[in-house]
Order: sequence, then C-alpha cells, then structure tokens
Amino acid sequence: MKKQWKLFYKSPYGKIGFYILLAFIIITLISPLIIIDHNPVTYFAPPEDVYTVDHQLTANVSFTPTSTAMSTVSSTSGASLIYNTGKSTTGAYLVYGTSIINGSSYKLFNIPSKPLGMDVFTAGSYSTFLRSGESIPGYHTYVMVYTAHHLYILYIHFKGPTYGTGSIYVTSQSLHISSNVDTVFSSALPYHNTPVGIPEFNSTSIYPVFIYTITSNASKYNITAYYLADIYKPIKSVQLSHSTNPQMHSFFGTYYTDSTHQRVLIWQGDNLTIFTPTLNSNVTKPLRSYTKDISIPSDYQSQYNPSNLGVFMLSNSSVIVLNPVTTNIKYVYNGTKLNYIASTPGSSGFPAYVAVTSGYNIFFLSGYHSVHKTINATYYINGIEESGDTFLTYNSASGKVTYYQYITSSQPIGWALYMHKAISTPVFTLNPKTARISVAFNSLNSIVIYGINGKDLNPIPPTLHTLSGTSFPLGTTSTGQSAWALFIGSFPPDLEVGFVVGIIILIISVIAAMAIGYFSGLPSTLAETFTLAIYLIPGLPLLIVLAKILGPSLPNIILILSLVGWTFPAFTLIGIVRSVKSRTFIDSAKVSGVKTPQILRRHMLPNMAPLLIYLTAINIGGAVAAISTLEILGLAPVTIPTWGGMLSGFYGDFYALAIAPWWFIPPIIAITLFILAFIFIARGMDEVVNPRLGGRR
Amino acid sequence: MIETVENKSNIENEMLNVKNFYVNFETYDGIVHALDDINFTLKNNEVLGILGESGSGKTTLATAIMGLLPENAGVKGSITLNGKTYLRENDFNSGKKLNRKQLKILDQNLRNIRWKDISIVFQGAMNSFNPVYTIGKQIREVYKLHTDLSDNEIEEKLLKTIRYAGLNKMVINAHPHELSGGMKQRAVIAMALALDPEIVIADEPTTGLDVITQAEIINQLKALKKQGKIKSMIIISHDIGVISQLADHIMVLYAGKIMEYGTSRDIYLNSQNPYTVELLKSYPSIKNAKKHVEGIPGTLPDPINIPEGCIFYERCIYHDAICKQKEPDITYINNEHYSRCYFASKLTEKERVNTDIDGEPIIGTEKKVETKDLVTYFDLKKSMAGSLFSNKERVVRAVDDINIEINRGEILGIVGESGSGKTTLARTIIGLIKPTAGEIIYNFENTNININKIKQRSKEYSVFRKNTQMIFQDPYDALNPKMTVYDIVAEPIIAHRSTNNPGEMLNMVKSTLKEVNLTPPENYLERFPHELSGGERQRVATARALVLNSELIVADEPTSMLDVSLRAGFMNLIKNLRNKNNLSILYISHDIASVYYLSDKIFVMYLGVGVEYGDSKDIVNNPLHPYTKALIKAVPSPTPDWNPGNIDIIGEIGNSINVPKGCRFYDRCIYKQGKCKNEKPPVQKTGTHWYLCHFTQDELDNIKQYMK
Amino acid sequence: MNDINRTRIKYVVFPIIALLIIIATSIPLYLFFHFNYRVYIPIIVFMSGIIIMFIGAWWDFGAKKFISDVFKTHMELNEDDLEYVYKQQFIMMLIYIGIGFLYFLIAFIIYLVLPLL
Repeated sequence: MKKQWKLFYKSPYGKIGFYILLAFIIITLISPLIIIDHNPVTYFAPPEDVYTVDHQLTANVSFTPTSTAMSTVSSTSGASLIYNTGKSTTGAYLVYGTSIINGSSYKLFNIPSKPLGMDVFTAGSYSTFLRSGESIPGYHTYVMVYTAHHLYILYIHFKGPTYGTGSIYVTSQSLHISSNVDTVFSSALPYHNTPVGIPEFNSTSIYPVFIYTITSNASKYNITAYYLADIYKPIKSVQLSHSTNPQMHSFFGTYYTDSTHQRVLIWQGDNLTIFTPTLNSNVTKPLRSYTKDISIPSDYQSQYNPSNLGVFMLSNSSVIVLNPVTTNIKYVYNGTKLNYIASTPGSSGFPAYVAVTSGYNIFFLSGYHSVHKTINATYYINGIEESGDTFLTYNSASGKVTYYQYITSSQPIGWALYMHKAISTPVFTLNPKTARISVAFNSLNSIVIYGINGKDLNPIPPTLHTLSGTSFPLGTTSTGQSAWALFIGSFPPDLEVGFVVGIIILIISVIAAMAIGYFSGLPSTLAETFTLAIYLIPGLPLLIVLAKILGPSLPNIILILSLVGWTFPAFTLIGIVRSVKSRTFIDSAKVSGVKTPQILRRHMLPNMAPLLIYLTAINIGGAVAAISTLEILGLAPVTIPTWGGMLSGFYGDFYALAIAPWWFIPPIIAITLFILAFIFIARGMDEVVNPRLGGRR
Repeated sequence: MIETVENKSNIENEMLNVKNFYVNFETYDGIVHALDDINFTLKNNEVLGILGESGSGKTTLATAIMGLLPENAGVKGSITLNGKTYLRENDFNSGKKLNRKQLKILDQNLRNIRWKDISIVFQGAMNSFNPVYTIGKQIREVYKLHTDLSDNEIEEKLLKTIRYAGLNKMVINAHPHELSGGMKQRAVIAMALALDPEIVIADEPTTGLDVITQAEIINQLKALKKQGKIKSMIIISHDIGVISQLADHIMVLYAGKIMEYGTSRDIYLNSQNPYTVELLKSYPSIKNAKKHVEGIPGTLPDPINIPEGCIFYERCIYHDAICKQKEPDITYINNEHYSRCYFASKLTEKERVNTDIDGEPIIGTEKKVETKDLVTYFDLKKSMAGSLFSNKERVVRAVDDINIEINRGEILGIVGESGSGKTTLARTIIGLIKPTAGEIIYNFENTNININKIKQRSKEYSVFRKNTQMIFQDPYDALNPKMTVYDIVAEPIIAHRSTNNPGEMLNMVKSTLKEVNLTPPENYLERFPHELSGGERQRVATARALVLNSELIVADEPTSMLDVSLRAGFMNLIKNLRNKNNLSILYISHDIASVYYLSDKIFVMYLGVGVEYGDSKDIVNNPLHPYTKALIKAVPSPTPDWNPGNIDIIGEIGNSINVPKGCRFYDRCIYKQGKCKNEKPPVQKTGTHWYLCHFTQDELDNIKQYMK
Repeated sequence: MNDINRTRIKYVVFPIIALLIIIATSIPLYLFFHFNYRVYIPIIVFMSGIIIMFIGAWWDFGAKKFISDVFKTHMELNEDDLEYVYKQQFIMMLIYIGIGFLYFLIAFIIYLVLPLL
C-alpha cells in the first residue's frame, strides 16, 4: 500500500491532481463560513444595489419655470406633455407643454399676469363631446391657471398621429374674479395613471366637475363653486366661518356616482369645514391641532371604498383619519414633528401603507398605531409623493430623491438619486414610450424625467462595497444573485453528486463484473449482452430523456447518472475478473475448499483494487461533467446552486457572456479543474496499475 | 584488447570476444547488477555452454551479445565480433543520452550483426509463433526482413533450412498448433539458421520439451555441428546433461559472475568450485539407485546490494572468514580451466551435513484412493455454442480407462510427456474436473466416498475436500500476490471452519510452516509472495496443502519451475513429510529421474492410457513396455561419454483427438505389427508389474532380432 | 446438418418465447388496467423487435468462449475453422433479424386486426 502511494506520489500528475482535489474538499468543508451574504437563502442582492435611476430624458427648456407646480397628463390620443407655467426670455408668462417623448416645448397660452397656481386634470365633457364631432367620448386635458384676479381654463386637444407628432389645439376660457384669488381647485383628480372614471362623463351617470375658488376680501374668505361645463355661472358662493387663511383644501369622492357622499373640505387653522359639492350645506368640525398635510387614498375617491374611512390628516404629532360624511375621527398614529403624509390606494380598507415623514425619517404605517418600518432617508425630507404602492421622498434644495418600491421587503428602497441642484416637486406620469410610469421634475432650466423602475444594474462587477453595504466579492449575476455565494455554494452539491455517483457506480459495476465475469454460461452471456446494450445507447440523449421522465430533483439525478455510467467500468472489470479467474491460485483456492463468495471477496477484489481507484477517479470526474451538462441544459434541479446552474443562464443570452466575465469564469474554471484533478489522479494511478516496463523488477 | 605474439594465431580464430563486461539496470528500487566482469572468447567452430540457474544473468548476457538490452541498461566493457567492437561502454550508458545520429549508427551496426552474424533462439520461442500464419510464412519473413533476395531464391533457401533442421517439408504449410513441441523447436532453429550466421545462441533450447524430444534435438544440433551448418554456438541452459552433450567449454555463472570455466570433462570430472560441485550433486541420477541428493539451501543474494566478498559465501559449505572479506581472484588450474575461489584445486570431499530422511516409510495396505475405468473426455460439441461452431469432431480423450490405486503412506509417481493426460488425471482426482465416466473411490476417515455419488453440499463432500489437496506446478502463480503468507496458509482453515479461534489458527499455521522448513515461522508470516524465492513459495504452497492434515496430496510437477539447486531440497521435504505424517502422495512429472527418486510405484502414461505400472525399481531397471524402454534410454546423463544411440521410438507424440483404433502407441512403436493397429492391447502381468501390449518380452526380442 | 439445425432452433427459442411472454402478460394487464391495447402493445412489440435485431447483431452467440475452450484444451484451430465460426455467426444474426421482422409483423397484425375483433 505504501509502495503504491509512493509510486503514485512520484508522478507529477498524481501530485497535482491530489492537491487540486484536496483544495476542492477544503473549500467545500469551509464553504458555510466563507459565503459572505446578508441573505443566505437566496443570495440575492438588495434592490438598492440592483437598480439605479433609469434616466429617460433631460429636456432643456427655453423658459424659466416659475415656482408654480408642474403637472403632467398623458392624453389618450397619445401625446404626453408636461405642463409648466414659466417665464419666457422676454418676461412674459406662458403655459408651456413639454413633450415627454422628445423634450420639445410648445407654447400653449399666454398668461397676462403672474400666475399664482396651476392645475391639470382630465375630464370628459358631454357638451364638448357633442361639439367635438367625435364618435366616442374621450378624456380631455384641462389646464387650469389662475392669477390674482383671473381664472383661465384651457382645453387641450390633440389631433394627429400618436406620440406628439400632431398638432395641439388649445381652447381657453377666462373668468374675471373681482376679489383676490387665493386658490383654485377642482373636483377632478390630476391623473398620472389610467383613469378610473371620468367626472361628468359616465355611461350610466353623469356627474359634473366642479371648480372651486377661494377668494379673500379683507379677512373674509369666500368659496365659490362653478361647473366646469359652464364657468361663467357660479353655482353658489359661501363665506367661510373662520377668518384664518385656509391652509389646506380638498375634494373628497371624485369618482362617487352618487354625489351625496361627495364633500368639499376646507381646513382653516385647526378648524375643518365640510361642504357638499354644491355648497348647499356645511358641517364644521373642530380639530385638536393644526393640520399640516392630508392624504386621501385614491381608492377612497370611488364608491367602492368599503372602509368608511376618508381623509388622513397629519398634524405635528398625530395622524388621524376622518370620515367626511359621518365626521368620525379615528386616531391612527402618534409621533413627533411629523411633516408630510401619503398613502397607498387602500383598495381593501385601511391602506397598505401610510407614509409619514418626520425630518430625516419616514415611517410606514400598516395599521392603527403600528409602524411597519422606519427608514432614515439621510436627508431632510421636503415632500413625499405616492404612486400605486410606492412612495417617493425628496429634498428640493439638494435634489435628493429616494424611491421606495418594496415596502414589505427588508430593503424597501428601489433607487436613490442625487441631483446636486434644486428641483421642483416630482410628479408621476405615464411615459408612452416605455408604457410605464416615470417621474418628472424641473431642475433649473431643464425638465428631467426618470423611469420609476430604475435600471437594472446587474450584473454588478466584483466589488466589496455597494450602496446598501453588502459586499459582492465576485459581483452579481444578471438577476442580482451574488456570484460568490452561488459559486462557493455550488461546491457541496457538486462534490456530493460526484462522489456519491462515483461510489454507486463503483459498487454496481464491481458486483456486476464479478457476477458476469466469474460465472459462465447462458445467464452470464445474456447479462453481458444486456450490459453491452445499455453501454451502446448514446449517453447524453439517454440522460436527457431520463431527466425529463423522472423529474429534476437531486436524488433522481444521482440515480440517473449511476444508471447510465456503470456499464463502462463493468466492462473493464469483467476483463480483469476473467483474466484473474484463469490464474492458478484460484484453482488452488477451489481445491482448498473455499466457497465462491469467499473467492470473489478475498482473491478477486484485491487484484482489482488499483484499477478500482483508477476507474472511480474517472467516474467522479465524469459524473460532475454529466451533471454540469444537465444543469446547463436546465434539466437538473435549479433550486440548489451548482456550477452548471450558474452557467445555464447563458444558454440563450450570449450578451451577458461579454459583459459579465466574473459570473461565468469561476464555474468554468471550477468544473475544468475538478475534472482535470481526477484525470491527473487517474494518470498518477496509471503508474501503479500499469507499471512501465522501463525497469526490471 | 591486448595483442600478444602468442595469441596472434588464436586471434584470427576468435569470433566473439567479451571483455571486462558489466551490465547494470536502473530500476525503481536501485541499481541491479546483472553481470560482473565477464570475460570470455568464443573461437571458430567451438561450442560454449553457459550453465546457470535463474538469476545468474545468462539471459542478460545473451541479449547483450545481440544488442537487445533495454533502455535502462548501463554497460561497461566491450563486445567484439571478428575484430569489430560493436557494443561498448558509451552505447548504453544511461548517463549520457545519445543524439539521433549516434543512435542511428548504433542501430545500423546492430542490425547488420543481428541474424546475419549472430542469431538467437530465445527461451520459449516455440511458443511465440503467430498461430494464424504458417511456419513457412514466418520463416520467409526472416528472409524478407534481412535480405533482398527474390521470392524464388527465398523458397530455395527455405527448403534447405527446413531440411537442415530435420523437418519434413510439409511443415512449411502447417500452422504452429499442428506441430508438436519438438517440431516447433526445430522450426525455430531453422529460423535461426536461415541466414547462415556465424554464431548461434541457443537459450534453453530444450526446456519445456519431454525427454525423448530433448534427446532428438540434442542429436540434431550435434549433427548440424558436424555438418558445419552451425559454425559456433553458445548454449545456455540450467541442465548439465544437455550442456555436457554439446559444449566444448562450459562456463558456470552464478549471480552474474563467472564461477568456473573449463572443458566439459574438466568441469564434470574435476570441478574446482564449490558451486559447481554442489550443483552437479543436485541432479538425481537414474543410474545410481536412490542415491541421496542434496540441493543447495539458501537463496540468491540481493542483486541491488551485493555483499562484500565472495557472492557464494552464504550457501557455500567450504566458506571461511577470508571469503567474506574480499572477492576471490581467478585461479588457473590449467591452461583452459579456471575457478573463482580461494580453495580452487584444494577442494576436499566435504559432505554437506546430512539431512537424512527421518525414518523409513510405513506403507499401509488400505487404499486411500482407487480409480475404476476413469474416463475424462472434453467434448466441445456438447455445449450449445460448440455444436453450432465446430464443423468437425472435437473430443479430446484426455484420460481413458485409467485404473490406479494409492495405499496409505505410498508415493505413486506418474510419468508421461506433455499431452499424455497426466495433468487432466490429476485434476480429475482432485475434483476440479468432473469425470465423464468411471468411478473414483476415496477412503478418508474410515468412510468410502464415491465421487460420482455424493452431492456438492453433503458432509462427505466436505470430508473429501478437506483431505484432498494439491500442489500446483507454477509457484509464481499459485499464490495470490496480494495476500500474506499467513493469509494464504490460513485460508483452508477458514474455508473449512475448522476453528474460529485466531490463536489456534496462528498456532496451526506456525506449526505447518515449521514442518516445511520455513523457520522461524514468524519471519515469514507477514511476507508477501513476491518477497520469497521460488523454492520458498512452493514450500508455502505445500504448507497450505498440509495445514488441515489432509491424507492425500496431489503434486502436479511441483519442481519443474524451480531451480535445480532447489529441487532436491523440495523433494527431500516431500519425502520427510510422507514419512512423518503417513501421507499418500500422487506425484506427477515428466522427469523420470526425479519420479524415480521419490516414488515407490510408477505409472507410465501415454496419450491418456496407462501403459505400464510397477515398483519404481522394477520399472527403471527392467522396463517392459516399448515406450518405457525408450524413455529410460533417453534420459541424458551428465557424463560427456553418454551417447543415446538410437532411442527406439519414431516420431512425436500424437494428439488425443484422433486416436488410433487399436494400440495408442501404434504410430511410434518400433515393434508394431498388423494387429496392433486394430485391436486393443491386453494387460500383460507379472506380479505387480504390468504393461499394455500384445506381445510378451520374448516376442518383442524376436521382433527386434528380425528387424536387424 | 441436422444437429446444427437443432442447435439453431435452440437459439431461436429464446426470442420466440420472449414474444409469447410479452403477448401473454399484456392480456391480463389489459384486463386489469384497461389501457388502449391497440396503441401501446404494437409499440412495445415493435421496440422489442428492434432490440432483438440489435442483440442478433452484437451478440457473439458464445463464439468467443468456444474459441477460448478450444485453445484451453490444446485443440487446433485453422483459418478454415475461424471462417466457419464467422459464417455460423452471420447466419444466426440473419436468423435473429428475421425474428425481429417477425416481431414487426405481429405488431402490425395487432394494430390492424384488433379493431376488427
């Protein structure tokens, strides 16, 4: 035994093979320790390392956007514009529309004096439909601009093929208001998503769009209601009971088909006045504190809201929710120094998340008094927007924007952005080019648009520091999995499969060889022919067919590989058994009365032993090669990491090969070295099994 | 080469000159010194005999002369042919690698010499014919390879060579398997003589042949020398009888060194080296009745670590302190006779310490084994494949109607050529082959066991198995190389479950090893077969046969593969064991001298039938059957004066497939008459001595007279 | 001549019996499981026929052992004998291929005849 080891070790091949194998085994044994990963189960990178902002457009505009808000709307006829009020180079105030597609600006309307505010909404107008000559009623875009004494309603109409290559028609109506206009708002929602319903236009009912103006005269505030369809005739005008400047206003129930539940809400200091849409009656509700911000979940604006909840109101230290119809108030959350609030649509009662900011932090509430998560945004949050079930916080001075996409996961941040310049309030818009939501804002003299889904950063090159702090020694794959964790994690399964298959093949082939080679006669010949038949079936197709039939789980794969691979060693061993059988000491053993099993065990086996090791080495290498083939083809289990599995992604996607070498090179090297190690070991064993005739013994 | 005036006349005569020749082999374990300081010359028309056992380096010398040494050989000294030195130190020294040109030149030189100037008959060459081609084709190949003759010329030369070798020209179109061993050996000699070489080297030309064929080959070679077809010859053998017939000078090699050199008469009658003396004493002689032979105990020295002093020191009975310190120089006894010993020309008759046989054998009268009309045929047509694939009769009548019996404590010797069926008989008696017909009745432990009637798993079968053991012919193959000596000897104990106690097993093994003279047994228990010499291996096989105290031992040519010096020791061991344990032994051999030495009764077989049976003394001194007569005559005696004359026998052994209808010896008998061909001969009996023939001794004498 | 044919029949018995076994075991299986006999059994018989053909092509019918037995008992073997062995092997292979075709025929018959029953 020792002599055989010396012979084996002497050959350079044996040495190298042995050391490589030793390295593999050591790595396998310490693999749980060296996988550096925060998420060991799936090895996935956190989303903030996965996505970066997907910059879609920066359009330099020829005007200076004024501090009024920017609104955006996508038209059903295809053109998408971002509406701004701005000051032209000549100093005139205009309403501009900037195309999301190509960034070109259109002058839409001249505003005679400085605009105080702007709002954009979609509505359908029956009368306009009648006038328009279109066959089906559609949504139309209305831009509402107000100055100190005027209100302008612009009706934006597109004609032409899609995506802004047509012409834009603007029809305007203007209303003179004698008192000072504080603010103007409407019951329609500025939309950035697919519209749920159309105020004033509905096949079963028609409900009007109201326009409300709040005007002030000395310390008296008036609210006047108008129909959008006819703004020249105010419906009603009511004086507000309090003399505090109304800091907040809102229309509740835009999509209610039954207008009895619609309400207009005006906050003045800590007083809340609730009007009916036509201002015919009102209710006053005193509040305990000054309402800083409100949020109405978008699904509460339709009658399908089952929750009897209404408006979320945020004061400095608490969040309450008010039902505008019953005026019931429920306390939702108590905190300190709360600033802004936003909420998810709330389609099934209490909204999934209500986001409340406080300075640098943002709290996600998932129920009454229950904070699901707290996140430090690393900057002072100036505002928060909501889109679907995602949120966006920003700091307008520095231009830092954070997008929260996966609130439920441990890494909720989708992407983060640092503009290094002041930005306006971001708004969400539907980008017709990508058919996905984008976010747009003004920044100095340009309009910047980013996709909200971010750009997939993966595969990330090997780096030890990422945004979220996780380290990827070998980078990531294109799905965000840590390549290092996959690589090291593949060692145990692959080695295990290799060794188990090698040993099973060894056992089966030894038993078969002894049975077939030692006995002679018809059964032995039949068995040998049967083995020959299996041997001759082409291996790879048989593997594939069996894998399909039996299904891809690890024990099945081991079974299949053993079934396919046992015939070749069996044949080699049959030859050896037959040649040993004719030697004299077998006759001698028979004469001594040794029974057949004893002969097989004590005489045949030791003579086969060096060859067995040789064959096992080759088998193990072959087994790993076979399972890697199956993995690459996708027939073997994909839930466990394997080298072949790492490579299977390339089968249809060669682009990744070019850009992500850190991903595919380690498994290729591993497979090659592993099989090479066994070939070398077999070559080293060759010296022991077939001693060269160079020397006289 | 130092040329002096006196030698000048001899120089022209010298064909081959080997000077200060050393050969080393580089192996994994070290450097093996195969040949040390070989010096000899071969003159024209002279035959040199090299006498040596295994490990003496004689085959290495032959291959060196032919230039066929392997790559790892290192050479010192030179070999010169006809004045041209074609092999010298640089050519093989593994230290320097030859560049391509030098290799080419060397190759060219050697190729020119091989076969044209020197040709060789390798050991066992008769078995290395290609079975697919005819003999003629293979000899023609020799011509085609080495000469540019046309096909017609080749045919002429072929016929001539075949005739010189003493073969019928029908051999040219025969395949090797159709020829007997003797004919094949002659064909090999024909190949060697094909190109009229100056020197023929014959390495063990008669090993593997039976005695009669051996005598014929020796006669043939002698005739070729007389006719001048063979000019000079080197004969290598371990058999002193063969060498002394042919050689003018004999060189005795031991472990790579020349022990003694001289003319045949000198070596035989006046050997002056202890090794030669002891070697000559190891041959059992058929003339000297039952003279005790003693071999040379001990083993060859390690060829890697050569001890200081004389290499024969350990086994020499004359050794003295000085022998251990320094190697002896060559001492000349006369002009052509020298010996490498301190005591040359001073050797006195010294007898080895007599390891006499203890006690006298007690031969009982109970029969241990008896066969009745035992018949063993091999019929290939019986199997399914056989009947599909064989288009002619394929029945080998290996053993036909044999009746033998062995009493307790008796050694029965079976003599026959190869092909006579003795091995088949042995295997049938031991149970490895099932008899086709007839009965074998054993008597062990006081029960009669008829082998045909008992079932495989019955108690009687295991009794039979336990008491019948075999010692095989090939000691190198009969032991599993991966098992230690302890495992090998203990295997029968485990197989028969005699005892489970490992202490008891160890004791049984140790005591058996002591019985076969492997002492101290502890030294041997953990050794592997490749660490033992041939003689020791055969003893281990014997121990394995004895460990269960079996009553019947079958020994199938146990000494044929051993060195001569070890044979005698082994045969004495068998004798001792028989005397001590009252064993019954069936001893099979083709060498009638050793059979005579050992056995009490002899049974002569020819082509599957027993032709003569009787007391060994009777058979040797008074052979009755024609075959036995020829056999006795054919045994070579080492005296140089021995001349076999006419061995009264014709042809070679036939085959057992197409047996003649009548007497099987018909084709070869010189006394054959008409009725021998068709009628089976009856048994002619005188006391316990019987033979199978139609004629009595007087009738045979008459026929012989008539022939003259 | 006669006993060569007898031996050949002995070799042929094995695939014929295999065919009978296939058909015999398919009937109780059908009664037990009620699969579509006409679709499955012809395919199985067809594939077995192909396997029989391949066995005929690759199996040496015991020739290797026969020759080694000849050498073991020191009998002679000429080139003519070898040719004879090859010829016999070839004939057996043809016989097995013929039996393969017999399998095909049976499969075909089952496929066509069964609906008529």
